[in-house]
Amino acid sequence: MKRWRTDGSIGRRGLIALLAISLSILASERGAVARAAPKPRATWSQAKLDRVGAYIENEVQSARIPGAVILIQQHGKPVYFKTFGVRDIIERHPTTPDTIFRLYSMSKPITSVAVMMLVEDGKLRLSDPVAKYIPAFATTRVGVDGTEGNGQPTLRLEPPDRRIAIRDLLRHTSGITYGFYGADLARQRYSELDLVVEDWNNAEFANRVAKLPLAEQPGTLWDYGHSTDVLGRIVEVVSGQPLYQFEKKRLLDPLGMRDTSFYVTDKAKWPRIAQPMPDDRLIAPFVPITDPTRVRRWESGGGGMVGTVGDYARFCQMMLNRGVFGGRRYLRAETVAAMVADHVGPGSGIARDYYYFPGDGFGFGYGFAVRTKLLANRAGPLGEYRWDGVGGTFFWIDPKDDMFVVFMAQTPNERGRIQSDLRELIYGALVR
Amino acid sequence: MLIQRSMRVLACGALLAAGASMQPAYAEGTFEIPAGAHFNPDKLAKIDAFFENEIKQAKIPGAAVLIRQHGKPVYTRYFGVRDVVTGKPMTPDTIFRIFSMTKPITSVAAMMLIDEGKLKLHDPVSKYIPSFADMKVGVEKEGAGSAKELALVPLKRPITVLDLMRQTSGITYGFYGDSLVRKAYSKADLFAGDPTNAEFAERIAKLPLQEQPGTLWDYGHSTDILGRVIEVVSGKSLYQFEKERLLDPLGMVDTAFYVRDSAKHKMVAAPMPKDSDFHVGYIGDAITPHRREAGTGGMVSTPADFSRFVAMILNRGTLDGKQYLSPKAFKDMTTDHVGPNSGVERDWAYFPGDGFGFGLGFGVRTDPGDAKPPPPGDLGELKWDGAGGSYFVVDPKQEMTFLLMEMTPTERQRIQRTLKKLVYEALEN
Repeated sequence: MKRWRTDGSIGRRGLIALLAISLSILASERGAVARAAPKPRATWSQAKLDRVGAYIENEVQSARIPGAVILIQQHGKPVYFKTFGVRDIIERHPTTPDTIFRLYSMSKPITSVAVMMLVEDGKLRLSDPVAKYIPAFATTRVGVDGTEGNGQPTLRLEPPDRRIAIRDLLRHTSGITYGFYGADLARQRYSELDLVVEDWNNAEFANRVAKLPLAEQPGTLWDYGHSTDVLGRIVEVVSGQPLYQFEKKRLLDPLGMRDTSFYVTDKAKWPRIAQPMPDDRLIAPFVPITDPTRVRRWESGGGGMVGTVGDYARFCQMMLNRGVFGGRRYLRAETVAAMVADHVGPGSGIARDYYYFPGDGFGFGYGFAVRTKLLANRAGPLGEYRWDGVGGTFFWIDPKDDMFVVFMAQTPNERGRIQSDLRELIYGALVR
Repeated sequence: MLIQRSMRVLACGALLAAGASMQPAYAEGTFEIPAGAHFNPDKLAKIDAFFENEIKQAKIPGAAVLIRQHGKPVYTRYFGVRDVVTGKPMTPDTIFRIFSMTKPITSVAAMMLIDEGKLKLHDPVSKYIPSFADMKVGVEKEGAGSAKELALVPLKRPITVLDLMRQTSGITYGFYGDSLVRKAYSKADLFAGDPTNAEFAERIAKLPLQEQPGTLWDYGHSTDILGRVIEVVSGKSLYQFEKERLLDPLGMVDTAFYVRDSAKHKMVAAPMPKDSDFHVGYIGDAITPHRREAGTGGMVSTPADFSRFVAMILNRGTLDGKQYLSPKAFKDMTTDHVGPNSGVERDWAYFPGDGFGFGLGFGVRTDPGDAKPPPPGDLGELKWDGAGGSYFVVDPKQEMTFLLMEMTPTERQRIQRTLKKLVYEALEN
């Protein structure tokens, strides 16, 4: 991919021309799918789109982020695609369309799609118990906080009311949690996973998770955790291949997601890796951002991938096209529909607590948060689905407007504010 | 390998944040603003807006922000409440756990003993705590199978008081990082049974060092050991020594290792109920009496108290006519001791951060740093912060200090960074 600067050295026309080349394959997707109903034709205010760029440019100029890239794509064509700043404030290579970003939790939708492909193959059922594939889960217990007579907190272990199903892993209702938030004792046990020294593979990692107490009974609470890492192991057991190999053959290579992987093994690509500001490199207290050049055995389906805006755009367009991209079908339309339907809503028996990260107005499908309610003060139509990563990347797919947005930067600190502001700016630029 | 801890608080923060209210405010020259700058009150008002929004979005219960310049308050605000459960307001005498902001206090106390000649920077720690003579360094090597094992190797030189003060002893913490030594710290149950400082030092002495003394800036329990050294040298408990020599004379009446006076328990600031894991390896509180007086992170203090300490530092070790540190001691404390020719390396966990060296208990701004444009501030800046979010900056060049007190382990980094930026953007010549 040719490098260019976007600081005015080439005009918008030149930029769009380059975009047209780099994303031409995406454009060809338009029309591949019959639309369900005629949609109100929305148009874009160029002046307001320019404010999107001005906002990101200001983030760069005021040194909050080194650089970023954004793609707004509608009806299969880029509406707005621009790179900003540098990928590394020290080396000062400009951000380019092929800059590689840590995707963190944006790995989860990819892993979830891989799982659903195996479901379509008939090799896996959503209702299957996880223990069918990872026997260690047959004995997993639920941890219940209590207190001893002397007031000391204790963790009591109870049998689960029902077995964890594949569906629970996809919608984060397994009871498997993360160790880095919350104060209850089961969650604290998960922080043991953070102090591992051994270079575990996915099988070993899943077995360790199985030994930890669940934070609550399966199917009772949306609880963000290592569920998608366990899914990654199930993909391996069912497919007989390492997670990456399966995803590469069935999804990444056919889609043309050439730079999406768990580690950057090709040294020639190392200069393309985006780095956060030097003072913005912790993703949690005392937890540094990962180094994707350091190859480990673990392939974390929950958060281990890196990728580029172009790669992730292909994934989004495939989803928006209800499973088709480049003339190839990856998922059936009804599978995509199931993935982006709410499975944790009223009547599901699934509670939401303070840590319901999908947020107000969103339910959760299989790997994606799904808009179920319009909110007066926040933009976004019903049916949009989305997720993001702690490193500073986010995407959303909006079937109503036939569009999606992918934003990539590396900024654990500033990501929340930027995502929220850009959503408002982008929907503000869409004139209905 | 720590990816799994990574997906912290993803979407919720994003979705709850305010709309597109950020106006372009190009920060030009917030590094090395010429001396003599003054504050633009209109620009300071952006700090109001920022904290009011944080509270409105339920990110934090409240916060105290105190900016002083040329010995006078420039901006003093008590935002929100000290506890969302009680709804009691934030006040100058609200009591915060200050975590690692304890370290500069312990370090000043040690320098007072150095000023008296009772302690020397190059003294081996084993002179005061004999068991430190036998410490070993844990080196990872390949063991059976894929597991790694620790080999214990002797020290190349003894750990000194200087090493404790500049975090180069090889003593680490067990709550971050993935080495076998840090794992051993984590498994050692260091805090069990409420040890005294003497007992705690013995527990540390039994653990391997993460690396050879003087080779890496490694944040850890060094300042706890320094606290024990102060006890041995002064013949008093750490708190008694600090109270008599530093806290009482400075008027830091509410600064201690826990709140003794039960009438003041209602003054204690609480984090948001679901934001109460400070990730420091143990669960503590501000009010339960305990024996351990952790010089590394165990103190409670108030905005009123800590602003006295900050003023004393800006005044180069004196306040209201009383001298706490000699000019030489002050200079030693505020000079970088881990710079290019020190032999001390920096890794990902070099918490002083971009552009900072480290003195004896403070981060010291020594250079612009790697970021371009450089992060805000002036060369010679002194600073430190705590796991609860409290944070202070002393800028001798502008004769300016600011102090933030809050209780939020998850939001602190973002809030501290934003506050610093807003403070320097409000400075004009």
